[in-house]
Amino acid sequence: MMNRIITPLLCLLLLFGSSSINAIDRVKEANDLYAQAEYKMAIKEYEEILVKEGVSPQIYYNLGNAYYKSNEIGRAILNYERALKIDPMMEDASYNLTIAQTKVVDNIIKIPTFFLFEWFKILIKLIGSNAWLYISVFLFILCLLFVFLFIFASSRRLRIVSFYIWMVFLVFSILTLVFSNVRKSQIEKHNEAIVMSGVITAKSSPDKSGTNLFQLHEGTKVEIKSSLGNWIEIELGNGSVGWVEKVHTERI
Amino acid sequence: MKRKIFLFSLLISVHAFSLFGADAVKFNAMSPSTVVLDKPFQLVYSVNASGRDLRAPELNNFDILAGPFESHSQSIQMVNGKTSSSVSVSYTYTLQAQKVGTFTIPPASIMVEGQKYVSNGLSIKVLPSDNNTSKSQSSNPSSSGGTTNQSGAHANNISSENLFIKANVSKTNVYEQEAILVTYKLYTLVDVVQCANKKMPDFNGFLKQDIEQSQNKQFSYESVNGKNYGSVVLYQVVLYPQHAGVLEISKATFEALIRIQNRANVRSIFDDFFESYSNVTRNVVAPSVRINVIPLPASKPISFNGTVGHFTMSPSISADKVKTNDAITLKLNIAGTGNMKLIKTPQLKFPDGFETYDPKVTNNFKTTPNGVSGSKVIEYMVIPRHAGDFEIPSTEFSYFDIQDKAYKVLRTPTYKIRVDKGEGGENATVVSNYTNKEDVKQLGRDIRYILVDDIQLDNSESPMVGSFLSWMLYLIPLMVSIVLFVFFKKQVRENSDMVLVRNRKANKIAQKRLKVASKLLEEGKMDVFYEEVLKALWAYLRDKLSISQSNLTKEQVQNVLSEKAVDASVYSRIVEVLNTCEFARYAPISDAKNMENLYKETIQVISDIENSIKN
Repeated sequence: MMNRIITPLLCLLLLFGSSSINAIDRVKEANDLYAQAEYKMAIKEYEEILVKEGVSPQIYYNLGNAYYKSNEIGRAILNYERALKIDPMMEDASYNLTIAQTKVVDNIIKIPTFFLFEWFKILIKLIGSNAWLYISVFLFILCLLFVFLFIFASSRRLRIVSFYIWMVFLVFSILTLVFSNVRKSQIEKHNEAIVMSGVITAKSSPDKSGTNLFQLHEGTKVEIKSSLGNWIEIELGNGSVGWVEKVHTERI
Repeated sequence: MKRKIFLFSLLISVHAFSLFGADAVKFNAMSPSTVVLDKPFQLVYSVNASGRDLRAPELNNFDILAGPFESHSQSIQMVNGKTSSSVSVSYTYTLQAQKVGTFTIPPASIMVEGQKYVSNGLSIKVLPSDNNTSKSQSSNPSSSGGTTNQSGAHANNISSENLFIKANVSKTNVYEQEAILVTYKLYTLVDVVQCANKKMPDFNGFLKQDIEQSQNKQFSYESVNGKNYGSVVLYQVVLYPQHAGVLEISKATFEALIRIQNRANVRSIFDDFFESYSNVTRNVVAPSVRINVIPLPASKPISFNGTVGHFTMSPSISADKVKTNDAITLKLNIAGTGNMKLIKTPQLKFPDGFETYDPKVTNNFKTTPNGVSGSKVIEYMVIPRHAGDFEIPSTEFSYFDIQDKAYKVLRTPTYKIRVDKGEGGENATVVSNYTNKEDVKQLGRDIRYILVDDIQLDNSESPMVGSFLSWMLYLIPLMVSIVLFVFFKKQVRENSDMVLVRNRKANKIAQKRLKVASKLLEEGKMDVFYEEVLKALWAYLRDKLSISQSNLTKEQVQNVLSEKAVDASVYSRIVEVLNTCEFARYAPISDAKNMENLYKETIQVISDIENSIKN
């Protein structure tokens, strides 16, 4: 009786175990191919790992390197961006991304934003969404403790101090909760894309007869505002907006 | 040891020979290389010293018509007060060939100051005599090869048959950059005094390299179509085709100055003695030549630079173990034949930290009919500034080998260089004493390497903010704290009046004690019973009326009770109970009935106080 239950369980365990070992082996194999400068083969292997075994920023990063070495700058940038999306603090990926971006033809000057926003953006990217959530909950509990102190303290001074402290903790708790939400939306949004074709022309309308507005080259990052059929409306860092065909871009 | 002696003696002998050579006694034999049968020519032996006892070889196949005539010449030079003199003696034979063919004249010998000198041997080709030239003319003696036999030609005699120029090409099917020799040769039967280039082809598509012609051109005989022409090389050029295809060397025009005897026009008695001549200029055109240029095969080596020919490369290095700031010279000697001017200096990649200088290139080229040959010596000088083990990587020089029709790659070896610290540290050449700080040199930029370790698949966390769980994280502490708050609030309110607490306790303690008392009553333990009742009442009063233990007196109790507006009768009853108890303790009244009454009275008094003092 027991055996009947245990045997399939064991089998299941083994299956999971073997699949993870298999994945590690495959990654190793792909890394070896990369080391031997067989970049095309390494690309194929990494792509298959991502499809079959699951994603990880390191695999995206390695894949980006393989694309860079086989001179496919667009795909290299796409994969670095994907790695950074999962792990924004991945220093190697951001370094290689800047190197790859030097090979991109388009030089789009970003409209500068208020410096405080930039700081907040960097701050938010420091840790994951859940980490921000935990910090927020922790601060909230601290805040509650100080509320107690405020209400039940016997001395007047202690009450005043604890009043300010719980107010501050409440503000920070709400702020970190916002950060957690922002970080979540960063991870879940798919409104950025990389140009994959050598050169594409943005039109004024989602249709081939539209007026030519500007040209984009492989590797340029655009923001997707909306989509209509096979066309997407894109916005550049400098504020230009135009329509391009979906097939020329790939979402990050 | 023996070998050393041998070497030494060899050195001495070589030295002696060279010393001897400095005296420069030269004994030469000269004659035209081709002669015509039945025509006299001159054989001249010349020596630059006064010699004696000339022994001419036996001249088979030649008739000696005259000679030897001896002629002396002496020149004295005074330069800056130094006098130098030179003597030259020549012995001239006039010869005539007996039959057609190629003959050799063995060397002659002469004695100069007791020393015997031997001349060079000669090879003379004898051509058959012309078919249609008259014997009378050919019997005219002419100076040795200087002019042609047809000195008496008329102006109208000059046709393309007796004066023409041929353009000879060494090869007509060549590879790109392969050397070809083009020779313009004048053939003449008339007396040509001078022949100059008038319009030369522009050699489009070629790189050209002129071959210098000797100033003193000599006619030699050459048989063309059975006629013996006087021939002379006018112009020689080595060409390197620069691109594939059919290239044409266009026509070349030369201007010839011809001497004509004016025998027909002048009729004078002196004519026979003083022949008069006039010069006529004629343009002679050399035909154009087509050359088929084959492209070099594909699969060129990376380092191929268009060099074609045959080369060798001998690299050498001055030292492979040096101290810092000692110079190292790496020498590449590229020697061979081909378009050497196109050889680019191979770029050697010296390690960083080596101070490099522009390589010194010494070209030693000579244009020969086979192309430019010679050697190119490239000297790289480097100065290692830092100690350590370094490696000069191999460099390539590649060329297309004409003989093997294949690309050849010559490589320098990889040199391993050990640099030890020299005296005075690493910056000894710098006059100043401070250490030169160097920025870390950025040599190149590339992407970072792939990550190999610590790869976890599927570690993308799913953010849970906004989910039910996340709200629960806030809600649960909040709920807990609200519950605690309510609980504590009540506690606080109660704690805020301590008296009330004790107040409540008073009744409880009293009841507890009275309970003990009632037990004692039943057991009939009198003295203990009274004491217990007394204690219970006092304790009750203390707590109920909030009187400290030290102040606990009957007067105080009376004061407090009157303060609280309690009926005065209650006080008197309390005092009565207290008195009864105290009295009974020292004079026990063994009356069960009294004890029971007292007990009831005490309870009554306590409950009366309870009723009259309500919060």
